[in-house]
Amino acid sequence: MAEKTGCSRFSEELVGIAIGEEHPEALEHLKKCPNCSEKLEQFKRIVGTAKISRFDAPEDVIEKAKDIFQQRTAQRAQLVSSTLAMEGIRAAHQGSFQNIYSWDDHRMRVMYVKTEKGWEVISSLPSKEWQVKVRGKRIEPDEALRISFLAKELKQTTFTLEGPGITVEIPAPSVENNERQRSG
Amino acid sequence: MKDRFSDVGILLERAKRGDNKAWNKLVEHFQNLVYSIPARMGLQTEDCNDVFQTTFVALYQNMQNINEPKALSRWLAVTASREALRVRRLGSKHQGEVPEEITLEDLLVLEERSAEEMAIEALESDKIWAAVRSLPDRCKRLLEVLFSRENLSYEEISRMTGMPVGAIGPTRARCLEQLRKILQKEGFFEQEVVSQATGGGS
Repeated sequence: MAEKTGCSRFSEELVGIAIGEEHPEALEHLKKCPNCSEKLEQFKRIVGTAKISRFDAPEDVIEKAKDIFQQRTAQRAQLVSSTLAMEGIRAAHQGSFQNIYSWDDHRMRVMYVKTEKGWEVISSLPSKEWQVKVRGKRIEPDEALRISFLAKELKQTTFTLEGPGITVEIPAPSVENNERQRSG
Repeated sequence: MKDRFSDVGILLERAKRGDNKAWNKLVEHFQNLVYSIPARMGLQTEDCNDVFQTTFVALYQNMQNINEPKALSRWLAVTASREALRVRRLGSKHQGEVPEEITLEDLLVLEERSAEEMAIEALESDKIWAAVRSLPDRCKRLLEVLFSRENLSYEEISRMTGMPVGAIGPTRARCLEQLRKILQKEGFFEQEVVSQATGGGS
């Protein structure tokens, strides 16, 4: 093996000094070698910083932090008012009505119109960042951000809105939902 | 070498768009960085758990405003250290532990500086360990042993790594040099050392 010369002679010793070993000959070299001195300082910084205690979070705490996302993203919009509030959902089978849902700072008006083919659901997106999916299929809004889709039955009109970091379910009007709003 | 921040950047973007799996991976990626801060500040386990949870709730609420993957780790470290400091102050208040020889104002300044230092130290440590993980297995194992335990003899290191005693010195030098070069490439040494950097903001 070729004999090491100059700075390379001390490469192992530099690391040893950074770890806390004593190497007098290398220390002598360091006095007249700014390159090796700089390298030693870098090794010392690495070793010193790497030895700082590190702690893994307990598994259950990690799981709880993961849950934050689901708890906050998968929201169900609340029905805040309905034109059916006075009549009850059963009256809806005759014509059309509108519900207003809310989540966070948003409010959304949703029209339900009875047609020959079933129920047409009409609404507007809060902004361009939002998308609508009905049973997993994306519905394209028009230029004014209006969306509409058809469902055979009223109970099939549930849809989801996907916005920045949030998914909101707009539930289908039901006797329970609307009656709850009516009594509330 | 692949930029390890690119993975974090992709995860962050996906999480912003509502990808639950990306969020889970971000939590796993940064759990050690975040949890180490309150733990090193000496908080009780329950308080560490609270700081951890609060930090990730804050991340959830603010991630739309974080655009640089490199800024994310700093944001988490600073948020965790400030929250840990807040929790520690609450604890001190209940126990009446304000030292008499310094004013409350001095104490607050000292505590804030110490929290900031803690955040920077944790960040630097995180960067080093991320770089260690990118080394070949032989180096990774050896450096993990060297950095995690104090004053080990060559015989002990040999037992723990399965490396012949005669190979430890040269391998250690080679591995640390590789690590130094990776960190140098990432600009690690261009940053100010902790004691000089405490005046900087986030």
